[in-house]
Formats: sequence, C-alpha cells, structure tokens
Amino acid sequence: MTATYRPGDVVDLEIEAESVDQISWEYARRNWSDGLPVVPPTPNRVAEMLAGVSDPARVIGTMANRLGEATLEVIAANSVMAGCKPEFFPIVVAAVRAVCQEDFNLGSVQSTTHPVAPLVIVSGPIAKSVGMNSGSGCMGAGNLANATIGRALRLTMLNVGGGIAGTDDRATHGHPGKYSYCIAESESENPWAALHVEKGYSDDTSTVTVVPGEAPHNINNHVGTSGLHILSTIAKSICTLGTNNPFSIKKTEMWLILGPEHAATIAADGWSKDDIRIYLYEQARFPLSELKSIGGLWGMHSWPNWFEGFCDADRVPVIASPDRLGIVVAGGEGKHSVGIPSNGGSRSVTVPIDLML
Amino acid sequence: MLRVISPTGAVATREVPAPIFPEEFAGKSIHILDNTKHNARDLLSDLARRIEDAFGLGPSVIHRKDYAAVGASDEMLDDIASRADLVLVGTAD
Repeated sequence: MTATYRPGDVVDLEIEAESVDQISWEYARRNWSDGLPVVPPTPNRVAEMLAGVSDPARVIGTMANRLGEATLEVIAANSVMAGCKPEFFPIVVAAVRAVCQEDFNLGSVQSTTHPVAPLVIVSGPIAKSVGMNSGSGCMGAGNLANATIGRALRLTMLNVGGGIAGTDDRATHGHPGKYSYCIAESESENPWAALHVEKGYSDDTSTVTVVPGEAPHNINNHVGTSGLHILSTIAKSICTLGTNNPFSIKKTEMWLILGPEHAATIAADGWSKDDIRIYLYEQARFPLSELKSIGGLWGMHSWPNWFEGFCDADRVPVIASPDRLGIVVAGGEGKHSVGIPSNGGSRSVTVPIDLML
Repeated sequence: MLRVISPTGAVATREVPAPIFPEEFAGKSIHILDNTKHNARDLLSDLARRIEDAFGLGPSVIHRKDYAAVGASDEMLDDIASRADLVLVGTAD
C-alpha cells in the first residue's frame, strides 16, 4: 500500500518561484548547495520523486559529521535539487545507504584534509535502463544520470552530513568529484564477471559500490600489444608517492578502471581478474628505503604486524592483499585506463539497489 | 513566496551526562589521546607537562590511536574512561 505523502520539514523562501537565479543564490547563501544552480525541491517535485515510497520518514542512514538523519524524504529533496529523474532515486538511496555503512568511515571522508570523494559505481541492468554512461567520457560531463546521481549523493552529504568546505570538510584542496563522481560499469565491453556478480549478487540484481577515491590517475599505454606490457605500465602507474596507500595499508584499496581496449588485450592473453590482482600486488611496490626517506608519511603509518619484518631492501605493496584491488571496465575507445587510490581510513562498500522503497 | 522541502533534515541526538569537573587537581592523572598526526604527541605532551607543573598532577599517560583516519577503538576509550581524570585530545593536523 502506498501512503499519502505529507511533506515534513517545509521552508518558505521569500523568492518568486520563477526566479531561477535568485533561488540558486539563496541556496548558496544558506549553504544548501554545491554552488551550482539547483532545482527547487517543492513539495510537488519531492512527492514525484517519492512516488511509490511507503514511508518517506524512513531513515536510510545517519550521516557524519553532522549526524543528520538521511530520510527518504530528505534524500528525495536533494535528488530533486541535483536534477535527478524519479527513476534514478533508488540508485541515490542505495548510494546513501552505502556511504553510511561503518566500513566506509564517512566521518573521515567528510572531514579529512585528503582529496577524497565517493566514486559511485553502478553495476547491473539498472545502469542501462536509466541511461547511464559506461562508455566514452563516463567520468566527465554530459550524461544526465551519471551527473545527477553523483551530485545527489554529494548534496546529501553536504546538507545532511554537513560536509561543507572550510567548516566540517577540511580538505586542503578538495576534489572535482565533490560535485559528482559516478559511472556505470560497462556491460558489453567487460570480458570478466561483472562487479555485482563478483560481490556475490545474481546477474539480474543491480548494485551500487562506493569507493573512497582520489581523482582518477591516468594510465596511458598506446603501444602495448600484450596483457603483460599493459599491466607492467599499470604496476608503475599505481605505485606513486603522495598517496596514503602504502602507509595506511590496513584500510586502503586501489581501484582500477580499465578502458575496454586495455581490458580486451589483457583478457585475450588469458588473464583473469584474480591473475591481475596477484600480479599487481607483487609488482606495484615501493622500496622500503624510499618510503622511509621521501615517503612523506613515515612515522604516521599503520601496518599489519607482518609488514614490520620488511628490511630496507624489501619492496612494500600498495595494498595489503590482492583482494584489495578493485577492477571495473568502463570508458570508451582509446588506450587509457585510470587508477584510483583510496583515502586511507575507509573501505569501499557494495549494496544492492532496492527498487521497492 | 516559494515553499520547499528542507534538504538538511533532523539531527540524531542522544543525551550524554557531562562529567563532573574535578575541584582539586593534585594527584589526578592526565591521559593523552594521540591522533597520530605528525605533531600531535609533541603538542599534547608539552601541554600536559605544563598542566602537571601548574597544578601538581601525576605523570601523564599517552594513548595512541592506530591511525589518524580511524576512530579510537572501544577498548581504548573504555580504558581511558576507567583510568583518566582529565583527557587531552586534538584533532586535525
């Protein structure tokens, strides 16, 4: 049964409804936006976003640092502001649920000086059905679903979680992905199991994975014709000083968004995802002496006990075990992939998308 | 006039009884929760020493979190709560 929607916390703004520019300026003045224009979340628009929802007051999660309660109604208001279509709403709700899980350590993501933003990866049939982009330019501008789903999560983190730059958000520079950072996994170009299947869900289930990620680091290999050649470039590319990975290794992950052409070459040579993980775990390593001398975080590191046995001649991995490497295929034509280090205090989280909210 | 739904929502709150501030500091112990940031231990230890000298407190006890980006463990917080009269903590860098 669908309950009749009655809006909860309404605010009357001294603005004419058609004054689009003044609405955006007022939202910015109230610290209710990311600075870009917003769609006003009028009771009618929020009700449309909540169509079919049985209990708009249901709390999906409590969001650090403000400890705001992310109800379906409030998430809907932020989804309207972001420009979402109603069919995107279950994906946004799943993303909010995911970042509120303990493993994601939202308090750290919201407040750290590190440049981290949640990368939303949608895997499964819903991505195609709502028109998400898993191809050319999937991390850039231009696709309504990618742009507004990622933005809705970020607006919820700002408004409900209080992650406002310069106040609770202490990021030194921030991250362009704090406007929106959302992609779909490629279904047609992926030579391996889909991410949601790897995570234990059925083929027809769709999932959201949130990754506490830095901005994408380019991995360019235009000339390699073998999987080993491309993976050797990747090993060197994801092993760069300045990331938190080798220091806060108890928590860190590394994510690899393989371009379809790189993925095809690697898979054609018989590499499975686990083969890639083992190879990069072994090859993407820093000399311990380098971490000690110019690593930048030596003395603040948190390592498993067995890491303490390393001597200066040993090489330290960028992840504590091969399973900490996430692999997704996305992107368009071209010989690029991207590596995404994580923030150091959080783990990625995958949740199923519930279409019956 | 434009009527909108607030995008911020309610804040989850719980009541926490405030500890009773000691009237007399002599013989009490200061515990330091080091967040592992580079200067935290130096800064907080120096502050503790000054408080010890000024108020005749016993030597301070230092607790070190596992890593700056994660919270102190429940075990560590319980230990501090059971033994400390005054706790110095710092945040950020």
